[in-house]
Order: sequence, then structure tokens, then C-alpha cells
Amino acid sequence: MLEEQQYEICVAISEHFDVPIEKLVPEATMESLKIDSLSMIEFLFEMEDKLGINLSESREPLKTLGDVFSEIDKALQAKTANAK
Amino acid sequence: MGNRRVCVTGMGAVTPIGVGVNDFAVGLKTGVSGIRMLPDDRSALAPPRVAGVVDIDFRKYLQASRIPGLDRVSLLALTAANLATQDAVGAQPPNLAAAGVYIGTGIGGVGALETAYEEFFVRAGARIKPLTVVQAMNNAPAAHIAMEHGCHGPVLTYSTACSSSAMAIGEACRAIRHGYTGCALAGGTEAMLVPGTIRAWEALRTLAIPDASNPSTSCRPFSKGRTGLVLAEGAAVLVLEEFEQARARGARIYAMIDGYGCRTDATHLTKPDANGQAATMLAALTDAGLQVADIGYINAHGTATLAGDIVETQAIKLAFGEVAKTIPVSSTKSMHGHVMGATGAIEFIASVIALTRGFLPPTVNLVEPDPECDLDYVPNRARDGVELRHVMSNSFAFGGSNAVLIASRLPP
Repeated sequence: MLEEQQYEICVAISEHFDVPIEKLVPEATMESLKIDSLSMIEFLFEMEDKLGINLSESREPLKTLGDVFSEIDKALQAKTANAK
Repeated sequence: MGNRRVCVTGMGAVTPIGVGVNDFAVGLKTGVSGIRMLPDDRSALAPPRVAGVVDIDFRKYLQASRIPGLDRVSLLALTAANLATQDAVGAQPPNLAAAGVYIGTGIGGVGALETAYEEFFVRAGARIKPLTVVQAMNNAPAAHIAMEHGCHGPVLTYSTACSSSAMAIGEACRAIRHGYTGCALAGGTEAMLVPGTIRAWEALRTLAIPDASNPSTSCRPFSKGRTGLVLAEGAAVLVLEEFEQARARGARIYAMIDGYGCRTDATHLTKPDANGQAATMLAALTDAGLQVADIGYINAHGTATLAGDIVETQAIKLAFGEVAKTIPVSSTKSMHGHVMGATGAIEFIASVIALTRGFLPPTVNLVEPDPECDLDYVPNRARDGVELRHVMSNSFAFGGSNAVLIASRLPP
């Protein structure tokens, strides 16, 4: 994932969950950020609209911010592949 | 178990004629109307419709972070619960950690469902919001109240159409009496003023035709020329406590609830039944150990449908006999409209207000009585300076599920 894309997602998370952006490192857990799974699902729905992507049907739990970046990255790559 | 009795120690009302018990009481006493033409964005209807609408800025009552992600039905309920718990004053606070939550709603988060269906069926793309299920589920309001106030007792939702919240209050009383909990937040909520649902009601041919010259007078219970019920939104929650527990914490106690009748017509899905209604009133009287002559005021179900008002009048005569003509009966729906799953709780609070403040709320818009409705309906103006000891609140629902509650002054 491009660094600027990751930064854009961090800004969105920071605003959505009212978390300081400096805490948003890939190894940060959802638990440590006090973000519950229901709220994250709602956030990802908004990101799908914002980035024009479709997240996978994966049911793997998103334990860390790195997992979230990875899920979004996969969807962005799929979008680029489809465009080609 | 002994003789556990239930009392009301806090009340929160969110109604088209006032938010908070004091504003609601002022509305009841002055006979105001909360009924108006629906704005186009709420109704999207032809012909236009009237409804009882709650004017509210939820940010005044709820933490800003609680508001997004909740359907209006939960926002109204949370507001009512917050007002009720703030109102439950005393030397010590009520024991909410052990409290149960008993909430009635007719159709729950139907607004969230309608939005989702519109996305799916009308717009291409079918992007349904992820919180749709948890906004729409009928037990969302009760769950949010429990989370907000940390209530770990039974958290239950009752759905018996127009009697849902009266049923919730009655069942909470039984739970307290029988020792399942010492405290309960009980009431109801409804937020069904969304286009598809209003259309569905319209199709049933029970909605009032708006009065063209003065829409606020469109709801006319017991009146000749009434045209039907007026849908409304709102919520009401009461803090109920076991009497000795409330006294021990030095609570301000509004009233006792000693009578609850719960009976079913089992005759027809929508047609009211005088025998079933009368049996429910008598069941409540028996539960309270009272005689018909003890009741000083009846808050009627009084929806202003053609059949409903006549049948309720007959039922009161059946239950009360000769005494019926001497008991004041009023329908406060004439002012706040029919709040469906919340209406029983709102009207029970109106009844407790009548009991504690000594006035009878009127049936407004009753200029010419229907000859078949021949009781004392407290027409048009509140009656002040009335000494009441026991009051009755009637709720009769589609499905034939009837609930009647009796509130009484404190024992001397």
C-alpha cells in the first residue's frame, strides 16, 4: 500500500474514532485503540464508498491496524486489476 | 415474598405535547395539540397526513457520541429513560445496577428498515448499511437503555401493538412483586412516522382525515364526525421500585401501582371487543383489591376510530355498571395522538400526573358528542382541583391484547 494511502486511512480512522493519529501504527491492536468490531464494520463500509472498493468476504478477525491496512490494500489492488 | 408492592419513583416523557414530565403536565392541563401536517420529507404522501410529532434536539439529552448509529426509536427511548432516572430523586439513588428494563414497542426501528429497503429495492447498488439489523431489531431500545444505565436485571421487550408499553409496565410490576427484581425501568417507544409505514396505516383506512382549516384538531375521540386515529411518535419510561426499597433510599414516591389487568379478546385481529375490555378492567380492579366506585378517573384508550370509541364506552359501562356515568373519562390522544407502542406508558404517566397534581386532562376537539358515546369525557378543558385516590389507564390493542393499569395515592 502506498504511504499516502495509508496516511489517508489513518486520518479517516483518527477522525471517525477520535483517536490521536500518532497511535495509529500497524502493530496497534483494536483492543488498545478501544475500537470494537461493530464500529470497525461501520467504518469499513464508509471506506468502501470513499475509495470505491469492495472489501473481500473474508471472516478473518481484524486484530491490528495492520490487518485493516492489508484488507483495504487487497481491495485496492483488485480494483486496479479490474481497471486493467 | 410477602406483600411486595410497586411504586413509581421517576417519570420521563417524550411526547408531541412536551418533553419532560413538567412540560408534558403543562401540555395536558392547557389542552395543547402536538398534531400537525407532516412535512413533505417525513410523509411523501398524497393525500397529505397529520401526525403527532416530537420536536427534539437529542444533543440536549444524550451524549453526542451516543447519537450516530441509533434509530430514532432508540433515541426517543434513551431520552425518556435518562429523564426518568434523573427524576428518580431521593437521599440515595435507585439501585439501577440490579434493575430490569421492560420496554414496549409496536414496530421498533422501522425507519432503519425502510432506509435499507429503499437502498435495496429502489436504488441500484444494494449497499445496505451494516448497522441496519442492530438499529431495526425490536429490542434495541431496551438494550441501549440497559447499557446506558448499567442495568443487569432482565431486559425484555414487549410487542403487543397499542398495548405494548402498558403491558411492559404491568409485567415489570409483576417481576418486582414476585421478587425477580427490586427496580425496573419500564415504558415504551415508537418512531413510525416514515413514509412506507404511514402508507400501510393509510391502507387500513383507520387514519384521521386532516381537518383542512385546522389540522391540529384532526383527532376527535368520542366526537360525532370523528374520522380516525392520528399516528404519533414518542417514548415514556418510568422508574418502578419495590415500595420498601424505595422508602429505605428516601425516594420521592409519586404513586403505587397495585392493579394490572392483562386479558385477551381472542375474537378478531382488529375489531375491539367490549366483553374483553371490560374483563381486563375488572381484572385490574381485582388485582388492586378495589371496587368500581374507588376509581376517580379513567384515561381511555380513546383512539378516535369510529368503532373503538363506542366499544370502549360500552366496555366501561359493562365493567362499572351504574357508576360509569359518574366517572370522568378522557382521551389524551386528542392532544398527543396515538403513540402506538409508547402510548400506554405516555398515558399512564398522564394518569399519574392527574393523580398527583389533582386535575383531569381533557378530551379536546369534543364539540359535538357522538350519541353512542355518552359518558363524561372531560370535554375541551382540564378540570382542576380534583381529589383523586385511584386512577385507571386503558390500553387495547390490535391482536386483542388488552392491558389496564391502576395507579393509587400513597398509603397514609
